[in-house]
Amino acid sequence: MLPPRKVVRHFLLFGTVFGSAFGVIGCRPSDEPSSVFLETGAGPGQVVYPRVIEYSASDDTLFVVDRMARIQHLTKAGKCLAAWRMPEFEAGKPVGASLGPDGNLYVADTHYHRVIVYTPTGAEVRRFGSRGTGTGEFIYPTDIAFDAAGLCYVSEYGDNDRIQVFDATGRVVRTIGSAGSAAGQFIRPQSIAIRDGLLYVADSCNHRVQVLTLEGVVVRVFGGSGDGPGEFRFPYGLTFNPAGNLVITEFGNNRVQVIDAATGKNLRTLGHAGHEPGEFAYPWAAACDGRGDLFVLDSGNNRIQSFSP
Amino acid sequence: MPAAYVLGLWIALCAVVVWLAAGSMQGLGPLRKWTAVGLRCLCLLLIVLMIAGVRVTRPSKTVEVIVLKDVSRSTSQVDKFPGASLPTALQTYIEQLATAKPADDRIGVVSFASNAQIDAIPGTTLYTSPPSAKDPGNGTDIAQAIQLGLATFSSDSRRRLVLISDGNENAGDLEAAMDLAAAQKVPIDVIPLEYSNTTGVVLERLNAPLYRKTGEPFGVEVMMRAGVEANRRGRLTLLHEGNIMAQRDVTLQPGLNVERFVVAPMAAAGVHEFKAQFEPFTSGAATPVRPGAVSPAMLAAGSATAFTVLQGGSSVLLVDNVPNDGAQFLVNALAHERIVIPGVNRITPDKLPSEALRLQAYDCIILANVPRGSGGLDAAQDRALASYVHDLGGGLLVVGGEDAFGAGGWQGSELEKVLPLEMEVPARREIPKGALVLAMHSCEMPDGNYWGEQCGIKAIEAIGERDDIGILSYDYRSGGSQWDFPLAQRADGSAAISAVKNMKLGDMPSFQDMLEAALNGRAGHPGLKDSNARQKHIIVISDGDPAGPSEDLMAACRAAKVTLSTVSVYPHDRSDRNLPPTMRKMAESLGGKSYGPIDSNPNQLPQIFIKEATVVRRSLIQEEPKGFAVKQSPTFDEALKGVAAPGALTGYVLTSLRKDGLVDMPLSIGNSNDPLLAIWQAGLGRSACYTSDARNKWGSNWVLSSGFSKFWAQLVRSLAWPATSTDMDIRIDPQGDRAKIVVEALDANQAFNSGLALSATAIGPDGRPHAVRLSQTAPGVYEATMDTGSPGNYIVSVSGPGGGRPAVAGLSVNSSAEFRDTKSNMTRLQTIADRTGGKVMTPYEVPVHAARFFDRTLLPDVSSPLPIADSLFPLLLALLLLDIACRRLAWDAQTPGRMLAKVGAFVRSYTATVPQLEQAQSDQAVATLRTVRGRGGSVSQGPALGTVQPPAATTGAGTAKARFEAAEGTTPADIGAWAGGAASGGDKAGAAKPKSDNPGAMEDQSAVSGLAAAKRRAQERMKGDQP
Repeated sequence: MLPPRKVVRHFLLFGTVFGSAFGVIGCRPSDEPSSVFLETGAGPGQVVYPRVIEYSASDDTLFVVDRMARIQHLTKAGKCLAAWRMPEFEAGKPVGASLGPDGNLYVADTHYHRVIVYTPTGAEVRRFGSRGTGTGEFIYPTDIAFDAAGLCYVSEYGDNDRIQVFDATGRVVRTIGSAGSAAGQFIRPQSIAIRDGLLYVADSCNHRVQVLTLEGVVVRVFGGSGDGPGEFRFPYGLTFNPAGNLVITEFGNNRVQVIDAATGKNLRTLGHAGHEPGEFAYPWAAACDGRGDLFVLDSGNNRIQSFSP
Repeated sequence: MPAAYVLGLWIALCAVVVWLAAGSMQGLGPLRKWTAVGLRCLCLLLIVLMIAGVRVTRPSKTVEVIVLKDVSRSTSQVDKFPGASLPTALQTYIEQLATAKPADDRIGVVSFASNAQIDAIPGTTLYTSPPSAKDPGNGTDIAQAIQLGLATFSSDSRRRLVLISDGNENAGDLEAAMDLAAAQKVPIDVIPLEYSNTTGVVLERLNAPLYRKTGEPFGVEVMMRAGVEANRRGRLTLLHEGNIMAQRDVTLQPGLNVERFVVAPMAAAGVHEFKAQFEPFTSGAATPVRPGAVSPAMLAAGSATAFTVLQGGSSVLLVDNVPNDGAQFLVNALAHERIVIPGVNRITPDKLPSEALRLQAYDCIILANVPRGSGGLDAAQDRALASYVHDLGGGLLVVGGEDAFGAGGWQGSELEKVLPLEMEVPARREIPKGALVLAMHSCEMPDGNYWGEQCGIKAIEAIGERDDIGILSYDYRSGGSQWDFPLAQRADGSAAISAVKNMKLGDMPSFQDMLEAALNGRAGHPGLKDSNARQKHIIVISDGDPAGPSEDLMAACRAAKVTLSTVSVYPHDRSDRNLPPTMRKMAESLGGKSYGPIDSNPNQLPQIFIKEATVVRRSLIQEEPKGFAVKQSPTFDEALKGVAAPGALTGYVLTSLRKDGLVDMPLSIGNSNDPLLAIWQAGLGRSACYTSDARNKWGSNWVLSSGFSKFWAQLVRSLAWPATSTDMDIRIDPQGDRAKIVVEALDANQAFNSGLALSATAIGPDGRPHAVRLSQTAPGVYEATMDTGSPGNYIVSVSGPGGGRPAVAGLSVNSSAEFRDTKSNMTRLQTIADRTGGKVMTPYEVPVHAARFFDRTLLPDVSSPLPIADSLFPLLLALLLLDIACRRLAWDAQTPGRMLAKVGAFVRSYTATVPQLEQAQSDQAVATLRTVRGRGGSVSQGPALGTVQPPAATTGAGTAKARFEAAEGTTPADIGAWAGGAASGGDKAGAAKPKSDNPGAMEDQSAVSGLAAAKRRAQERMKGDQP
């Protein structure tokens, strides 16, 4: 029989070894959400089919827009800091928004064919665009992105699938793409993002992601219809994590893929169809905070699920 | 489970444990035994609590107030409120209340009229949904609002309802709702919406005779009730079919007033509508108040309507949907036989009245090539026609054509039930089938799932048993369109309808995926491309948001002869002739129709689906240029005797004969003897179907023959209802929300006819017939009551004991129950408050209200029980382990103390400094030596064991130990002390261990012999205890 001291020593030794092992395993990225928040309803911290999520780095908060046309400014725990409603919503509700370099929230008021700019507290700053297929006009604007020079990119669909680029004065600088399935063409560019001088487009109904220069030259295309790694089915949401990888939210496959932005290779897959934690129903979009925590807008389940990096 | 039961069960189980322990735990000793018993009893307690579903209660901390807001029509009479309108005033008041309440308390809103709905879910911040566009209806159901409010409360708060109402309720069970609130200890505070319409004039009724002959004068009377303070001077107008017939200025007395008009003789037979209107004069003026200046309530209350049916000669109504004025052949034929159909009696399907009452004027109605659904008759017209025949004894003739019978979507209709033919083709007939795919997309419309379901059901009902049906919707789990019902034969339709009812409409992102699935099939189930149907059709219902299909796919559809129609519901984009371009493009590209936009009128959706479903039923139309032979039945109908049957006809619509002995089929057509003419008695009326047409398309030779006119005239005459029954008189007396039906029956000698088993059929404004049982109350007098709560026309028919045309009476209910009360019902509101422990408050005093509503001291505490069975499970597991340890490990009363000492030493060994440790070791070694030395000669027995070898003595301490080596082996307790004291410095302790080839065996031997000795002692002790 081992003396008590040795027993203690062995206990400490094995404890250290196993503890370290479990610690390593525990630190590995988990497919289980670290938190699930928001609930169904019309009150603060409640949502009905939310379709837009945007992370605000300045105050470490989130903006969420739902199908009641409400914009809610939320903490990362889901507490409502402010809320307001779109001026009109009978025809339809917004499906895209982005924070501009001026700190204001640019909302793609999709079914009113315009962009409305709000301060973070909900005061309207200005609006631009109207229905039409001409320059500066929109048919169903879907999302907004800004490049380093401060130019504003607005994607749209409805047989008018293209991306228009506006300067700070609201003048259209250029138009990128057209409706179709060839490279450089889009069918429902539901989400766009800009990083390192490249424009990433979630070409949703072509089930692919297109990477273009800011002038509109196609750099690469990846994806394709399917449910395998690196394949997409209606990729609706597109954002970047701090590591520079793409986070794609798939409306059709009810999952989130982390994709190498340079190669299109799948790095990580989260979720599948369902209503339990870690499962999604109609995920429209996702956002990443500065630490890499991922906030997935689980639209059909009326909630946000957050995942550790 | 009651606590007493739990306690009893636990005590019983504990008794069993104690009894068992007494026999089986003797070897443990009293301490260990009773500890084990105690632990087991605790385990049992936990198990019993878990089974009983033990819960803990948590006291509520917040107050939740739900405001029940009356939005019924009667509240439009309220004239005292702050602000521009009552809805605005109430909304402002509720918002102010939400602002004034404590931050953690919650407020919600339920609005109600004939139905209740949640406007704002209870929350710390008031967030009201956009106002509902739904019609408030003609009722006020306070009971439903209370029940919905109670059901909406959270379980963890103190609760209060606040009722804002005029108290005039006319639906639901308020007594039961008040009892429910009182039982749940939820007080209802009341904010009355007071009004007293003493200044108003209400037209209670316009009385006009239901039947009169043409050319006969008759009178109508207007019954009006004036308020005490009413401006009782005004102008009373009588309108006939919307035109002013008579007008007079009147001065009314407070209370009931009756004004009579004499209607001049009228020559036109049919239904005549009369309407009376009262317009009060402005004070001192001689002209009426402008209509816009009176309240909606007064306008609603200021008119009354009645109908009179003028009978004169034969009256036939022709509903004409025959293309190219083809119905003129039939009109001319009837006119040739003195049955004249004037122009006003020849109408298009949309002009057919949707009330059976208005059809009363016609002896026979002819439907010529009339379809069902969009472009034909809607559901209300369908019901009215069926009631006209079955319940009111009318005659109906249905004449065929390309849009009639099954090809016109009449399968599954109400009318089909009163026809002698069924729309389903005979099983023996081999006809090409059709295939229909319904592509359903969830739309952002109110009750979208309900309407989607209704559309699907109607389309399924409208196609044939052997037609194929498939239902597609977007399934989020698969990320694409999936079959809710794979393309397969409809059969009786129950499986497809069941699939429709279980359908979950998803948010479809693209039509491409849907069209691919419809054409090529999905998940192992084939699509339209592989179908052998002659007609292949797709109906798409959507808001038009999904992305459109590719041109290649639409070309593939065209190649597979697939047609497609679209129905745009609540579309967001209306840029292409008021429809989404994608929807219109798909329909035009694939040879279908594009319907919509459907916005506030979803009632037409099922009609569109019925119409579109008939596209796949074109194969029911049988055409043969050489003509089909017509055969005359030996049992040729009496009414058609002497009439020549048509010769060969080149077309007809395939139907099947109703399997009923009352059905007569005088004419059949074709080699399969398909029905051409069938007649039967349907309820109180008669109906006939002629499956070919009555023009020069399918009967080009026959329309020129001499027998054509006589055939149709005799057929119409045989269907027209017989003379009015004269042996019964019906009267309907309104009594509040109900009406009394009084029937006086006379026999042939004009004496009271008693002992009859009479039953009546009442048809309300919804067009649905209801059977009413009449009870005899006096000789020849029979009575019953019926509900007349909804405004509109009511008609009652009673068939006499001798058959013949039923006696019919009608009643127009002019205003809804909402306007029958001219003042708010404060008594009822006070009762609600009293019964539930609430209070009637003065309106709009926000600070006072907020202080009371959210005062938690006035509300009973509500504790929310939380189940804790899951939390008890780990505790149970721990107790079980302790129980096992208690019995398996040898311990005594000193063990806890020793363990504590060891733990203390262990902790000290890690916390003490090196000098302290060395000092402690030195002190302990010295103490040990003193102990051993003090024992003297008792150590001499030690060497007898002879197996212990002295350790190697390399140090001074080792030399000292060698001198007492024999003692170390004989005193285990001292070994422990020694090992923990002087020799606790490290590996040197190992040097003191006895060397042996098998030390473990020696220890086991020692342990076994010790246990055996203990057992022997225990047995001896037990023997000694026994008497």
